[in-house]
Amino acid sequence: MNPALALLGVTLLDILMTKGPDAYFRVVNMIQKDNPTPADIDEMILKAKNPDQYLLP
Amino acid sequence: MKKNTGALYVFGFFALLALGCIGVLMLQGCAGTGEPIKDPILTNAYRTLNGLDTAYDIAWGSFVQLYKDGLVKGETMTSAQAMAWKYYNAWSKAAKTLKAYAAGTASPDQLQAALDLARAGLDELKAYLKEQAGDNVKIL
Repeated sequence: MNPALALLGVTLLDILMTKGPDAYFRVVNMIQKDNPTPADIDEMILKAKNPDQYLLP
Repeated sequence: MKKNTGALYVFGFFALLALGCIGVLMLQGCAGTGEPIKDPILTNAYRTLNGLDTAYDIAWGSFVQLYKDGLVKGETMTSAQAMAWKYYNAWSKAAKTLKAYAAGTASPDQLQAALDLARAGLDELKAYLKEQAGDNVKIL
């Protein structure tokens, strides 16, 4: 397993059970990603939600 | 009807187990199937940032849900929000440092320092959320 995720104590099964299949496959795809391009990094930044966005209805 | 519900639970359990196993197999297999990693620092930092974002998304998302359900006081939410922003800003800075590293304008040490700050911010946030909401908040 990716050491970064192991360090966080994140397991795929946890993600599957708490966030559902979408988050699960997103994490699996992310773990498989080698040599990220600037576009991949931009996409990651765009996908991250700020704390206030969670408060929106 | 009762029998069908039981069967559904068993099916659900095995379906989840199978998905978990597939994920583990994909993880184990990816080392030999992908293209060679040109820069381990870049790839590991990218994965770390995604891992942090996933952990934050689960913890903060569940805490906000508790707040929406009326289980968290307004003042507690205000403090938690300040910590969440602190983490988010550290994460964003680390992501930008990763981009700069990829472009050759940031050093590995600068990148590592930014990642450490983001990780520390998330640890602080998770500890606070756990302290305020106990087992009601989902922490990975």
